[in-house]
Formats: sequence, structure tokens, C-alpha cells
Amino acid sequence: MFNQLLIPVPVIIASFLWVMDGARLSFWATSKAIKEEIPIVAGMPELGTQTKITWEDQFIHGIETPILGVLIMFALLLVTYLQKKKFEKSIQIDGNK
Amino acid sequence: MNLFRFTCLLLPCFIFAETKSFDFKDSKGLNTVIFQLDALLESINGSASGVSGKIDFDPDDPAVTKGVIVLESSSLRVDNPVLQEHMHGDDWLDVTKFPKIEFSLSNLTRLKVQGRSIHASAEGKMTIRNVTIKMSIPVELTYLEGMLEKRNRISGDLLIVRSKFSVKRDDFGIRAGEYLDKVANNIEISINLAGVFPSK
Repeated sequence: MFNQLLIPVPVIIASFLWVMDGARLSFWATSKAIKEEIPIVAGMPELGTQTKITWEDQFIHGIETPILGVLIMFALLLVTYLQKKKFEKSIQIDGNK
Repeated sequence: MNLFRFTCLLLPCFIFAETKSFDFKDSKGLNTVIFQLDALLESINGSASGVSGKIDFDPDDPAVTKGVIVLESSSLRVDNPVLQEHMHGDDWLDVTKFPKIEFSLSNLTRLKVQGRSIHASAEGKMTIRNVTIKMSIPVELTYLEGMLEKRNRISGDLLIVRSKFSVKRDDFGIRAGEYLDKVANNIEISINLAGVFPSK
């Protein structure tokens, strides 16, 4: 019973991580562009700005994360099902004896 | 007599008219090209920082502005390393074989002055993957006389070049006609570059 309660845990964790990173539909990313507007002439932003882009190394979850969570859940379901079958079979064999 | 007067009036303009060669290799590292293209799951956003090149600009005659802006193709960056590898790879930009993306500006047309800025159409040739195409790009030039000192602590002028335009990857043979359902044909490009002209 306790084992069965653990089955949806990978999906919950994966979905949580995915949503926390913005629920992006794109793939995993390993860096993030940090944009900052810098005045072209210091202290005179009225003359215009330039966008400074700094690439920061950071893992960002993509669509693979919830998919992986679902796959792990199915794998756990299969393992639980097979274990249950094996257990039932062993009980049957013991009963026949 | 009138012609003589006219010539006398114009002569100083020709004598003092100076074409300034602005260098776009920015020591501050702020010269960036931003690109965006639609993809199947989400748009692909990236930037490129390897900008260099020179533009000859005459504040008294901006129409004759000419020069070259070069972008190192290996400096193109996106957030996904696999995507970046593909983008730099043989099938797409082939950055080892074609290390430079170049826009050669021949002149400006349809000039319109708005405050400090000049809005114009930059006529020139774009070269990507060794494919050169004649292009007309809308640009905004802002000439800031004597403002280099406030930016780089050396006396001189600044020329700001801003533009938003798009190129089609089909035109430059970047997997022409392929994967159009996954990666859009149109690549939106946005530039905001500062060129420097240090006074001697």
C-alpha cells in the first residue's frame, strides 16, 4: 500500500520543478540570458541605452522534465504490478502445497 | 557673380567636411546582435557579441555613409547547448568554414532627420555562409559629437546604429526549404551598436 502511494511522487516532483522554472515548452537549457539596459553615455540615459547580455550558467527545466516524471511513474507502476503478480503467484503455489 | 558667391560659401564645407571612421569593436563589450526565430515548441532567442567593423560617416553628408559590420558567427549563442551545436554545425551556419557574417553598407537612402537621429534605409550587401544578397535595411543613426569622453574616457565622437530587420534562411542556403515546420524561415534581427571615433 505504501509503495503504491510513492508511484505518483516522480510526476509531482518533476511537475513542480518544471513549473518553478516557468513551465517552458522548450527543451532543457543550461544557461540563461540576463539582460540589462546600460546607458550609451554614462549618466545620460536620454541618449539611449544598449542591452548588455550576460549568459549565466544555470540549469533550467524544459519539457523533458515532466515527460521523464511520467515515464518513471509508468516504470514504477509496471514494477509494482509485476511484484504483485509474483506475490499472488507465490501465494497460489504455497496454497497448492 | 552669384556662382562665385555660392562657390565661396560652399568651399569651406568641402574643406572642413570630414568623414569620420567609426570603429565598432566596442571595448565595453556592449555591442550585441539579438536574434529570434520561431520554432515548433517555443521561439529560439539568442545573441551574438563578436561585432567589429568600421563605418565612415560624415555628419554633414550622412547619405554617403559606408562601411562594413562584421559578426563572428561562432559568437552566436543560445540557451540550449545541443541547439547551439546544431546552429554552429556544418548543416546550419558552419562557423568553421564561414567564420564571418558581414553587412557591407554602400550608402544611405530615404534619410529623415528626427531630433538627434537620422532614420534611413541602409543599402548594402549581406553575406552569410558565403552567399551575398543585396539588402535594404531600415536604420537609425545617432551621432553624438564629443560624447566618447563620457563613455570611454577618451575624447572623440560616438555613432549609434540601431536597426530591426529580418533575413530568410532560405535566401542564404541555411537548410533552404527544410524543417520549415520546426524552425521558421524568418530570422528577426535586432542590433544596437555603438561605434567610436577617437579624436587625434
